[in-house]
Amino acid sequence: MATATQVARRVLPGRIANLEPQYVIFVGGLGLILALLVIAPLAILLFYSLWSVGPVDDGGSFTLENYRKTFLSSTTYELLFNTAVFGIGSVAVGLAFGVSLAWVVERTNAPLRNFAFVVAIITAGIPPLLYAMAWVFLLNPRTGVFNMPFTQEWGLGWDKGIFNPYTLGTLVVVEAFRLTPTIFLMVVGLFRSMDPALEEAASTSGANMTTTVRKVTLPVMLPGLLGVIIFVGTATIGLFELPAILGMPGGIHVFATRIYIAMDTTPRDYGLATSLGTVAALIGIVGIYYYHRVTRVQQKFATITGKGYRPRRMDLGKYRPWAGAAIIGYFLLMVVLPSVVLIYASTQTFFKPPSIEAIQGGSLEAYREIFGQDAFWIGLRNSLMLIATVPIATILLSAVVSWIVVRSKAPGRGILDTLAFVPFTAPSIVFGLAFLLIAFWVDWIPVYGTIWLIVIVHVARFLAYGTRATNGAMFQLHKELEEAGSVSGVGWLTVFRQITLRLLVPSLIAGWLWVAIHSGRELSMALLLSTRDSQILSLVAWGAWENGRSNEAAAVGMILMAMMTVIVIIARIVTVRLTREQG
Amino acid sequence: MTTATATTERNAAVKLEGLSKTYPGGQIPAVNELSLNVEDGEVYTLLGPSGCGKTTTLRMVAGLEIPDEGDIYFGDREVVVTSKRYRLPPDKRDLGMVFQSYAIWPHMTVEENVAFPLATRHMRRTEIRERVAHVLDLVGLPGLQKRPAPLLSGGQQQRVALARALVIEPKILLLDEPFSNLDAKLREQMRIELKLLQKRLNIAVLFVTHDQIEALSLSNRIALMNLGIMQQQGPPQLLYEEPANEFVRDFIGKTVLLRGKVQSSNPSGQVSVAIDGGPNCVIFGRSYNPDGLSSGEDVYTAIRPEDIDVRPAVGNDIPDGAIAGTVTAALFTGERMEYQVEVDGQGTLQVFGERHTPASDGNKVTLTLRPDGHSVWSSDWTHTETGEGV
Ligand SMILES: Nc1ncnc2c1ncn2[C@@H]1O[C@H](COP(=O)(O)OP(=O)(O)OP(=O)(O)O)[C@@H](O)[C@H]1O
Ligand SMILES: [Mg+2]
Repeated sequence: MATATQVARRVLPGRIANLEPQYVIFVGGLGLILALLVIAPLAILLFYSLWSVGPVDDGGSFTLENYRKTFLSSTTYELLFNTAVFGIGSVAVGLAFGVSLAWVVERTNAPLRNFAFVVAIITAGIPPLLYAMAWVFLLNPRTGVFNMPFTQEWGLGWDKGIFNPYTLGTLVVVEAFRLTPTIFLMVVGLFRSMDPALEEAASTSGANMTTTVRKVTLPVMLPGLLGVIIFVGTATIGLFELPAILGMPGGIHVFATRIYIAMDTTPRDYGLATSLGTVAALIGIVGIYYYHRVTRVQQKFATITGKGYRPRRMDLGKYRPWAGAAIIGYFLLMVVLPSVVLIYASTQTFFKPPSIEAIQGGSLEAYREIFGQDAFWIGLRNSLMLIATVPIATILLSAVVSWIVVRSKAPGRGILDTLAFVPFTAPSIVFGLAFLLIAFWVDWIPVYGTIWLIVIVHVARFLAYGTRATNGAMFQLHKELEEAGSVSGVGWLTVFRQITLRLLVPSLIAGWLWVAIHSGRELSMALLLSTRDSQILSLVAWGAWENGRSNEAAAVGMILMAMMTVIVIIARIVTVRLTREQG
Repeated sequence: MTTATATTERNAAVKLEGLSKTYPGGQIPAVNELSLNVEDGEVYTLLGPSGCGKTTTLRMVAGLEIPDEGDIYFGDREVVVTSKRYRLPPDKRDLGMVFQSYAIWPHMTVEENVAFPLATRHMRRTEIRERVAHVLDLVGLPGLQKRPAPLLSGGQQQRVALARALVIEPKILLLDEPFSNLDAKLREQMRIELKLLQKRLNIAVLFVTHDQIEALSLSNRIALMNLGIMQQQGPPQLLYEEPANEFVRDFIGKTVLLRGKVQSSNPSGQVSVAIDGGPNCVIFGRSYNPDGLSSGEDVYTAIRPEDIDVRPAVGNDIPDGAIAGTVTAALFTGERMEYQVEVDGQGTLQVFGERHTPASDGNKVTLTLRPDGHSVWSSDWTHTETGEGV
């Protein structure tokens, strides 16, 4: 907390002395830290993509050979194609689900609206690795639950069912399901920030419902929707877990899995990995550039909302029960089934389609097995370590950066803001790769092989999200609130404690929670960085899955989920307490 | 809508009959059995404290809320008939509406905003362009067609909203506190412009405000509402001078309440009252007590501050029709003096005096009352809370 308070003193009203030497040193130092965390890895990635040998070898020279090889290989184009289909397809389908669900919840009188909300908040936190595993259990051609009507004796008794998890189509649909709650929550935000009178004005102007939606609702929301699309699209393009579990068995590769394979072969193919990584990062940078532009337009669109916001809810009439059924269907398909099948799978030594005998024959063998492994306990310890350190470090650093970016008039504050956002551009696995290169480069710092390397990578990566959250919070916190405090004659420390911190804490906790969940479940950054001693739980699950011990993978997954749920509940209780205190 | 026919018995432009609406979860109705007519060429204002159901009423007229009970007609056209479960959707009502937040579409230019109602009616492009230009002239924004909406100032947005509402030349214009986001100067100016425009176009305007100055100056008739119930309707003067109940009296303008005793009263409600605190101060007023008042009864007479003439006392004489008091506080407010005067048998009164012959603290003053035209109220009334008043 010490750093934050020092900053408070610096930038409190009337104390902004921009060019004070300590101030320049402080902001400059912060910029340097960010540059080290953010720019250095990407620079090194670029360097090795243009270097003839990898980091473990001596010598080498400048070369374009890596790119030549990469771009002459037809698999690269296949991979680009797959990544494009995966990204565009799943975002499009997810958008269809998410937007319609958001519309039903925000603008109609459908039943179970609050329920849909709770479900979305909970499921936005499911680890992608687990989600992918669950869908393998559900869709497996021979044993998949959805294929039971085709494969079982009581059904058609075929050799194989019609569903197959290992296709590009399935990959797209499952990712769309996974994105739905996130898109839903973001689009609900868009609906809420839109003045409902805009739509009402259209209907009193003579436009019917479809014209209103086409000419007013969608165009007004468009910048916001584009922001959502770029945001989830960039994340999907860099995603490793789903393509790894659903794509790789069928030979379907995307950027992330191809880089993983390049690094998983002996000897490692650094040239391929770094050149692909650089291309992926470039795509990300383009995406982020547009994200920035689009969200800036959106701020311009922000309209004065009349007092008394009250959207008119459309009366669904006789379709009301259907809307309720759709919400329940969403809940069953996207949440209940995957969760239940995972619990079930963790009790089955060999996955069999659920039946009375199978359930009776289930055992906790997998849990006993993993509790007996050192790797599990190391992973658990390290995962707890991540959750204990990464979120707090990220949020504090983000708060300091935001404070300077939003509140001070320091020269160079825009650069800080941009720096903090850069990590978002590269897929996680690329970021992991870049830090691996750094670890080899500066091998005199003994972090390789310890959990601290992963902590650093996570902080650097999640800074992008952390600063978005804290920037928003600082913007909302009107300067006058603080000034009113100062004017009323209390010292700046009291102002900071009683006003600033009090008002910020709920947003900081929300940001902390977000980072905690993502850090705790993250797999792909640690994938290339972890050694035996720096195992984490998600890696243990992944390892078990790769070795065909699906029950153990599911069991570790269940433990991970339980941990996440506990964190969510605690954070929720704390926030409710705090907001109630504030009245 | 049918063009004006020669029928002498035309229906009002807007006719509400027994309109009621309770929101889901609402304890009391937001609007309760409201009936009113708005005639062609009339500005009819819904006035009342916050939450009294003005916006709800307007939204029901626009079709944005469904009444639980009651009917709405526009001229001879059925709009809502609850018994038939008939309801014309908002896009078929052909009215103009200006929202409190203006609701200017941010993704369109001024021209696109204003042209929208015409475009949904599939009008030809050249005609649209002409009419948009014409209506922009009308609201005083000529040549602003190509300006993107987010770049407009508050006053300009308000005018664009008005232009968009007027462009289809509606017979009915609905305005929900259209001036509340403007600063005082602009507000006054827009008020005058709106009045002129309305006269020129001769449309029926249903206007919502909780600013009584706005209501009094702009309206042909006012309906004062409280808790969803209409308290009184009529021309501004009527509400000001002959308030139907305490709520109306206290909401519209300021009143000074003077204690007195009934001297005589006649069946038509005319009462003469001897005011306490003056040797010979008898004034006339009208009583709204349905049971009538008896001689000698204690009553309150409600007098508008401008009907009290405050002057420094000359000697110890108290003229007829006046009461005497002592100034306890004198405030110069620019156009006039504001006094607190301690009057025997009345307590402290708040009154105004003209600024040329000011009295100061401790001075004796006489308060000469206008002899008639006041309202007289039984002394067992309870003072209504309005939270408003100028
Ligand atoms: N959508 C709604 N849901 C529930 N209650 C509502 C809704 N809209 C209005 N109300 C309630 O109905 C009553 C009347 O509201 P209305 O908006 O018509 O008041 P108003 O006279 O326009 O007030 P103001 O001057 O503050 O705009 C209020 O008590 C309000 O809280
Ligand atoms: Mg209102």
